[in-house]
Amino acid sequence: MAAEIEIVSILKPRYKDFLEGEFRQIAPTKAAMEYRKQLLQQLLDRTQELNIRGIVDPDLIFKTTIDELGDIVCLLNDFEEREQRSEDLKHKLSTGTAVAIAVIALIAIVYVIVGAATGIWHPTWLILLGGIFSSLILLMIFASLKLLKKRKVIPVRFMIAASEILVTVFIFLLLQLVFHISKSWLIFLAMVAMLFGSDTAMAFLAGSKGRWIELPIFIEVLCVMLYVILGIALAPAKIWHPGWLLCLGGVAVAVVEFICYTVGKSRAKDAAEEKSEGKKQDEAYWTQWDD
Amino acid sequence: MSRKSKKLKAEMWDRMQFLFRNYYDRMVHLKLVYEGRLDISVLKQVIVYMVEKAPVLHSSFNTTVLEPYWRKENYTVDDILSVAQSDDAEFDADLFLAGTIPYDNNVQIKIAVFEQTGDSVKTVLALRVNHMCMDGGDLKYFIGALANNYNCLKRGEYGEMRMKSGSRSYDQIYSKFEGEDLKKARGLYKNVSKIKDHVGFPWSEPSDSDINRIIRREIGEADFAAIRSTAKKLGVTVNDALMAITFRALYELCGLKDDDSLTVSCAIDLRKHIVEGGAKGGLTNHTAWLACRTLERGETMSDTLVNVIRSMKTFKRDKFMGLYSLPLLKLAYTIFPQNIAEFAIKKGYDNPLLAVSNMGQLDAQKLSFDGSTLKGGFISGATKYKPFFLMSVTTLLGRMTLSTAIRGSAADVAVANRYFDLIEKYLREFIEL
Repeated sequence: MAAEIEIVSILKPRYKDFLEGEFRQIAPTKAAMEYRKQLLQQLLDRTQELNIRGIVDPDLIFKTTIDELGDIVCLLNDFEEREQRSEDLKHKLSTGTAVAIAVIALIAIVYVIVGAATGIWHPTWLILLGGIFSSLILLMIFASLKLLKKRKVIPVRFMIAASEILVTVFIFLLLQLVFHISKSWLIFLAMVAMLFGSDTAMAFLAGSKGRWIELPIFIEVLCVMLYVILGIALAPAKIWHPGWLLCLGGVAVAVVEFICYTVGKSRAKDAAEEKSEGKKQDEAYWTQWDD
Repeated sequence: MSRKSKKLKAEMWDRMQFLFRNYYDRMVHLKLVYEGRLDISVLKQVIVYMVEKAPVLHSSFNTTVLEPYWRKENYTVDDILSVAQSDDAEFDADLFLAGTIPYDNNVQIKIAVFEQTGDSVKTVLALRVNHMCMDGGDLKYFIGALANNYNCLKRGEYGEMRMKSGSRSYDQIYSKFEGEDLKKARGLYKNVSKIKDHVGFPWSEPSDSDINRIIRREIGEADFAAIRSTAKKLGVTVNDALMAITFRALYELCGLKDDDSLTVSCAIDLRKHIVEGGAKGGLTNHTAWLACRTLERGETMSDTLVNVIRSMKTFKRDKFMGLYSLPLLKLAYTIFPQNIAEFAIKKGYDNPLLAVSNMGQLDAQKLSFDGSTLKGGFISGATKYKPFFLMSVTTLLGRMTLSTAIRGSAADVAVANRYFDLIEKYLREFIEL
């Protein structure tokens, strides 16, 4: 390890005094202390660099390094604001977690009470599962709102999909275990269309580039799933034929939509070119000379 | 002795060094020059004493589909030590150092003593050892222990003889960590071998006539003292200074533009993370690389030095320095059979194209054999295959030896000497700061 050079030894106490004085403007927190130490290290590193480059006057180095820090008051205010925002976020997150835990605990109590009172423990456990799923969905909604504020759409799309899967699983269990509905598993087929549908909607809301590609895919998936669900649900009624026309219809709608999209895009491009040409013409009218 | 007890575990670093056979010859080299003769009979006994304490040195490396292992082999001291009279002891020692030891050999270390004929009492001790058994750090320990044990045996001080023989496991590097830090260190699944710059040393094209060569340059006492003094004045380490000098030399040698970026990997000894610096462990490898990178050459030596120390500081201030990637390697060797693990690691690992390994000071006092005076010497890393380049650095008796080992031609010797000329040129620039 290299020994501390003389200039660093001279300036270290001065930097410390300077930083201690300035940091009194903000609250004395552990984070502020860490930041103060970080700034000292930054100043000392810079001192060494300036010394290597040939400045040997301690006062000049002090002036240069402190100037390089910029407006220290602004720097410290920014730091405090950042810390405050971070604290707020932590607080909100901990509140959200606490609420989720409380909901789960409450539902667990309800489950135990209902189970003990009625002596029915199955399928009342669905109350517990419902509570857990609801809490998870609430947490995801909460996180999604935060992420949307930061314009982070992709994780939100994943969270929406996860929520839909949880809802579907719960409804399936409810239909199967409580209402004993046969073919309740068909809800998973509906879920596929629902996942595409909600994601397409999100793509349009967010103005995603691929939204016009996603739309025909959704239409086709919807038609196929509808065809399969109806085919199975309405059996023995034979709707497989001509029900397949539904799939074909989906393809037709998708093709029409794609053609419209392509034509529209082409027109928009022409219009932009015309506008650009017009601008050139106007410019010529303003600036063109005969000589 | 049962068959089972003959087996030794192939540790993670043994397996990594085995993989590195694709990049270099796996030999670590040492040469020490003495004035005076060694007592060969005592030396032989000491060697056997030490090799018995470190069974990996008399084992062969065996590969299997699932997991490789070391197998203890029968040997005699003559398999390890050779003694010869020579008209040119240093030349013969250099020839000896160019040799290799197959990984499936019965011994993994070879020592040669060359006694200069004629009026001179010069004796050269040359040693080469399989890198899979130990790195430069432990070779320093080994040769120090060899000299100590030799002297003790000569004086009959049996109680003072020593040789470490503990665990060779890589995970000793976590011994100084605890709590959250330990958890974090063991979870550093990050591949840090990938570098952004792919500048290679201007070696000639590989050829069938290439042979192992060690090219070296000694920096004299006066110059080395001047480097130390300037480094001290500027508050940098000798290694920082050496890196800055290396960067400037490579920018020129490789024909880089001033605004080109360059990465030179620097070897770091992971024993800093081990309790008592690994004194309780066995002979093994505890070396990692950190990639020192500059985005531009810098107009002056000062600028280059600033660029270098900025890069180095980011590593030095990281308490997990050198520990990245190790959990990933361990995972690969744990879950995959040998061949698949090697394939996967080789795919993901980029061996540094340009590297410096500063093994620091060799303690002349500790390397002295009774009845002889140490006059010089050095340790050099493995003989690289093109396009790889490693500069090894050791300091002894106030002189710094720079060396590079390459399987190459006479043209490559010229390139390496041109590089060392540039090192000397920029070393002067540094001294003048």
